[in-house]
Amino acid sequence: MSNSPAETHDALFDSAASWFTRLNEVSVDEKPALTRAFRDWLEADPRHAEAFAKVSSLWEAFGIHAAEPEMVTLRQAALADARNTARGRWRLADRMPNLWPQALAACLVLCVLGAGAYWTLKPAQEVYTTQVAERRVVTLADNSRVDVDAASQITVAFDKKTRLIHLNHGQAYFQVEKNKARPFIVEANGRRVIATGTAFDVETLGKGVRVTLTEGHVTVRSASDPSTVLAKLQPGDQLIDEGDAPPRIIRLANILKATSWRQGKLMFDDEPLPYVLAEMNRYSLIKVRAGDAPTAALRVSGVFNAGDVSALIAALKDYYPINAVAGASNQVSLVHRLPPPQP
Amino acid sequence: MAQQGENTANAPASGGMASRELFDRYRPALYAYFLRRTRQHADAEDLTHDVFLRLSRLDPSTEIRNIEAFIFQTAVNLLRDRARRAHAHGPFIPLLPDDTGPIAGEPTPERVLEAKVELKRVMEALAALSEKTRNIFILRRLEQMKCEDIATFYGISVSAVEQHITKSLAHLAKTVGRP
Repeated sequence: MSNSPAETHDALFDSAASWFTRLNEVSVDEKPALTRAFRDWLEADPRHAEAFAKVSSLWEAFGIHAAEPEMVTLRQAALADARNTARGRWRLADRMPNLWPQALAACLVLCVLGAGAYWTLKPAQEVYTTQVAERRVVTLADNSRVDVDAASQITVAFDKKTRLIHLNHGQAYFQVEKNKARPFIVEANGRRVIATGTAFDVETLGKGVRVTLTEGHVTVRSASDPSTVLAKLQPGDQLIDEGDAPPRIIRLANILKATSWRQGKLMFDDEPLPYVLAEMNRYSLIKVRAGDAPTAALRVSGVFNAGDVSALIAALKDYYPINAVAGASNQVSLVHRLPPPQP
Repeated sequence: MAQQGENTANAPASGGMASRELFDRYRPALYAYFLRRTRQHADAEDLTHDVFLRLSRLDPSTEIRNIEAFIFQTAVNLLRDRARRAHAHGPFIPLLPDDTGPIAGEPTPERVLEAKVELKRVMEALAALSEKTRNIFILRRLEQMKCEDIATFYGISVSAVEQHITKSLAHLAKTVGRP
């Protein structure tokens, strides 16, 4: 054999993972041709089936960890990264109000076509979108207050009976004006958080939601089937509901931490540095990242002003043997002062 | 816990391809796989048969997108069950929910322990990936975002997204290691 056993072993998993991804993502049209090629690959070497079985089983088992706190941290960092990287995408939503002339024209056409069509038009909805580092406080028609976190979007759709808000993506904190006759509903990823007068935080988490209650009471129901109560929360409860597992309620969650972003503060309690940096980068056009593995493994506790990157870097340099290296286009890399032992 | 039904999305289990056709297609590879593990022709034959028996018993409404992955995952579980039956002194407790069961039950203590050990190794393996690769893998696997959407987020091609996923998965397979 020309390859060393280790190389061969790694190469097996490389090709098995590649086959797995292709089979997972292939379109229906291309599937038959792909499965023929897959069978040939399987039969070329008995170890191929073994490697493929391991990869498949690993992919499936990975879901077990979805709700573990460490994994939730990574997921939030991944989502924040995606939100921050995708600025252009959210700007499209920002242009929605500019569509009004077209909507008006469409309305006129419909009026000509038939008077009944007029009533099919939906009432006006207000959309609020924030960019990176942008936070917005919106006072609603009923005097309720919404703090919209960075890189997030809400749609306000009030009518006479209900005060409905869609959290389309991101995070927002709601302080609800009391009105028992007209419930305040936040809909996010198919869940409805229903309140009368209270204060709570909602964050979209993939296809699920995280709801933190600071005051009063809320009920969380399924949006598609409002008779299904998913959870009833007490102050201090944090609900993590992702659909693929029963909703989890963390009692006495760190409310201050979950909602500190509203005061322009970021609070960390023994968090991995990459998570801390991802949070900070949401408020800054200067993006800081951990430049090597020892730095990425550091853990950080403390309270920082959102967006004050230089204070964060200064504090980190005080506590840890790291240097900040400025890179191209507003990138700063944190690296360990002692170079790794490899040449 | 997140288990079956997660790998699901589009084509019905046997709607896209009859189970007989799947049997013909993957029987040799499965047989060879089981033979390598059991070294018994009769056992390999039985286990191969069991895979397709489980497949045929699936609720017809079950949707499985990656049927190949399902078949080989079932093969792994069958081998694990067999090993456990051979070695266990106490009653048989499945560490992972049965593939054919409709809903996974409460986790057993053994399973919780296994998951914890596993989590530590998984976290270490994830930490070794680049931030972008790790994020893309998590967005696809746990946030269940489509590759097309991830590609739009990052301004890269769909095949580049797939490469990040492949890279993560290969790295996990090399370092975490499940039987």
